[in-house]
Amino acid sequence: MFRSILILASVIFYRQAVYSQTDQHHHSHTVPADTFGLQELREVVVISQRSASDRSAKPLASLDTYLEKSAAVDMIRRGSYAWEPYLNGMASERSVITIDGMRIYAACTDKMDPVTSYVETTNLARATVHNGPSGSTGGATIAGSLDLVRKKGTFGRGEFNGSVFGGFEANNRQKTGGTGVAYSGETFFANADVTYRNADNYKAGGGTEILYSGFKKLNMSAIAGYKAGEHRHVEASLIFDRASDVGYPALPMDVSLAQAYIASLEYIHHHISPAVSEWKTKLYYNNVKHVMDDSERPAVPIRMDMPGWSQTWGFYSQLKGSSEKHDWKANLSGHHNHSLAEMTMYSDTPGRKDMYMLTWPGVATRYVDLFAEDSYSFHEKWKATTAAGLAVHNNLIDNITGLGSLRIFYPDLQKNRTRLLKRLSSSLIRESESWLLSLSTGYGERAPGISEGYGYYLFNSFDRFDYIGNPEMKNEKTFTCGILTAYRRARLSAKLSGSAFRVYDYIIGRPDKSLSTMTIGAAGVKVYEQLRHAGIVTGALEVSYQVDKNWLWTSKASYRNGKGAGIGPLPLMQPFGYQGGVSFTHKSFSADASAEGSLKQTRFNPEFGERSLPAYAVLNLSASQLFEFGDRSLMLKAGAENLLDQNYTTFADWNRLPRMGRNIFMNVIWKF
Amino acid sequence: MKSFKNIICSLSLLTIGFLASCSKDADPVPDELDGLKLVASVENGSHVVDLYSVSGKLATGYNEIFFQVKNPNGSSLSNDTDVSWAPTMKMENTSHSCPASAITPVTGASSLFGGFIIFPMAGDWELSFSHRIDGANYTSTGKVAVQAAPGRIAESFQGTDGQKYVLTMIEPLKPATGSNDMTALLYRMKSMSDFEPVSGYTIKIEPRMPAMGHGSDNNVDLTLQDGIYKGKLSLSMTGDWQINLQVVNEKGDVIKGEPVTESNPESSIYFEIAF
Repeated sequence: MFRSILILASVIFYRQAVYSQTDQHHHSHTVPADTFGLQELREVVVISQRSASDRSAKPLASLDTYLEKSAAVDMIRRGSYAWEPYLNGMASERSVITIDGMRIYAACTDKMDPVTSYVETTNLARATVHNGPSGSTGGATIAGSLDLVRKKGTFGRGEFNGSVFGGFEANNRQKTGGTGVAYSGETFFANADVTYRNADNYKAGGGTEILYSGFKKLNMSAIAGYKAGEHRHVEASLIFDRASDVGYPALPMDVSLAQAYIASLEYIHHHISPAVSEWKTKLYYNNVKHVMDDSERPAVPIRMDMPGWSQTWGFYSQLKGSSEKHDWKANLSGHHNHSLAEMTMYSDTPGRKDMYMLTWPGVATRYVDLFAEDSYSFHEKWKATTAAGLAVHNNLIDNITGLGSLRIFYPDLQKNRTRLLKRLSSSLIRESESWLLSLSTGYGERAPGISEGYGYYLFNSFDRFDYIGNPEMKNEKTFTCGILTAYRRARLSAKLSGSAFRVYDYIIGRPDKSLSTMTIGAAGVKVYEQLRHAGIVTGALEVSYQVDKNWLWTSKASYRNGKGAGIGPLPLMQPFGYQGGVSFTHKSFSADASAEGSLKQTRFNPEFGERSLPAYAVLNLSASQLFEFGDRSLMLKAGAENLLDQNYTTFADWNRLPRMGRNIFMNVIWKF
Repeated sequence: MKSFKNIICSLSLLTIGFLASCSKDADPVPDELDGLKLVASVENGSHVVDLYSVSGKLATGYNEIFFQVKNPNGSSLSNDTDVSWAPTMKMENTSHSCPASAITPVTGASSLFGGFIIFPMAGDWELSFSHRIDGANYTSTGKVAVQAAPGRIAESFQGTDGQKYVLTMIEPLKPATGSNDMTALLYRMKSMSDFEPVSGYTIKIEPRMPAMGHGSDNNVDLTLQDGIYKGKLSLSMTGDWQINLQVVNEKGDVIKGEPVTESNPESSIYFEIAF
């Protein structure tokens, strides 16, 4: 398989991947770095650059678009907004997504509000991906973890700067606007930003309007730090995010409101002792409200709304240190979440009562996690990393109606369930001037997610089944191994990575013919069950070549394959996909041409609503010019996505929703 | 409220004999009528019978009824006296009765009698009470209004065996989302005025939500246990439910009711629950 990736990728041009670069690499990407950083070992999606050397295709793009470029992440798309991140081809329950280490639980039973939907690119510096159950302070996971790292200031000499930005996209008339300000003083720093987006329906290739695909989003964020001592400071942070009138054309319902408050307070202490370099402790709270409704849809079998609420408070306390040959990290974290979702169906017959049920029966999740990692440089070029984590996970159904509902299916259901979740991983890294090689292996476990464990008649519009949770499932477990090799020499850099997951007790919904459907028009009922095992293999190759001072070509190819015992191909698996591009830079002008596409999808699973998909390729063009006026600068970027107006759909499009057709965009960023 | 619970408990124990456990350390009843409301009074010139129920009303289906008999001197007749009752529905050319329990004294009470009557239809029913004191027979007769219950909770039908039956639902009294205990009583009509409890049958239930067209899962059909038909009813959400019924005799033959299919949205007999 990897050989085929190599051969194909070598003939395909693709764009420089913005995500495997650190800030430093970015500013000096034409100069070959003489050593590899940790960033090469993980996926790092650089989000907020907006600098002179900004190479992102569209600086004001949504976070979803940024993440989609990562080789490790697929974004499952149900509309224009709030795509669901799949890490290594696995659904969001199998990964841990955090914002600055904070756990947030989505409030939507239908995955319409992943954690990534409650932040903005303006707030973020980067997204860091840890593949597999290894190296994750976020908590027990199967596929890996994704931490969204916020952009924040540093202490300085009383400097003030800011930016004002605006964007317009012709296809869906999306208006993006906002501003950010930052102050850095000797004992105090603060950042604040506001971003607003407003989009109408978009048009697929050929001009077909996709109804119910508009959205509005307001995001406000602030972060402030106070220096309490030479090596100590505290930080307070707040994010408010409010999306309204969000259309989900691939689903039968839209969202009238998705709103989150995310707050934290952190204490950071550096240089505690020669052995302990940092101690940080954070307390956080977040509150998410999500209201699904169908009031915009003219014809529905029955009117309904489905609000959901999720509140989480938590903490973590982390120590970092190093000795002669060791770098270590210890992390204690815990959180408490309460999730509840309900559904009301409105009777259209006078005298008949409205119908009400709890789709998430009031579930409290209590979680405590201890994690430690040590990196041992036992040779000039060799390093061994070992990480272990142990977590106690408890679920409590605290709503009597919810408990009663589930007891229809599980008469002996107990309110409380406690699990122990273990994870262990190690990797061996060899690093020389131009080569990096990493071999890693790991074991991890996870508890079923709230929908998987306790969901009650959750309709999946892709396979058209009602899903019932199963609170009696065991932990899902995985053994993984991964290989990564990177080469960097003169003008050429290349990275080949692959990983394999063997998952035991793989959680997936299977039809139960003895049960009757609830949703009008549903094909049947699926109950979450556990496959004896499933296997997922992923691979990616990235190559870039600096042709000369002005010209750079980049390419990327990736592939995933998943198979479950007794069911065949796992759903929503990426077929062979590629990106390639060439960019030209001269002084402060740059221009890019790129193509991205996918081969025909031949591995699909009709049991989950999938069917074969044809190959596609789209072409994108963009150009940017930076004008500098002393300390100030103005960046203009314009481009065309899907220039040829292809009508296409990908494996990641829910219900095979067509993607956006030709889109001309313009971004303007004024920095002062 | 506590005393009322005791009344219900004792009554059920004595009349139907199906509720197994009552609290053994029951407090003495301070007021026999606590928690009850007057429904009507029936008199015969010398005695007055005061009828009570929890709601103060009578409705179609299963009704728990309590009463006191007032002597001419104003005192109450002791509830160890033999009393019988007979409900009658008089129509233009005909009249018929309905299933009624035996009358029993309410435990812990000195003057309160109790029993139940299953009214298959609404309207003015004639209710007569007979008792015998010192060799003299007294009968008090009067009309009581029986209202239509908000939903269908009693079915009268003729089975394929040619017999007439009355089927009524008792529980769930307070339906809730989830699995509910369901109880029902089935009577066969021996004559226009004589009903007997039927044993050995099965009452198959198929709950449906007409507004949505869906059913529910893991229901348990009703079978006779301790003198009452008992089963489990799954109500997966609030709203209006229709409990489609099929009555199956001891040989396994369906004597009334049809399964719900695509072409047949409901059985010819069903109960209704709304909550």
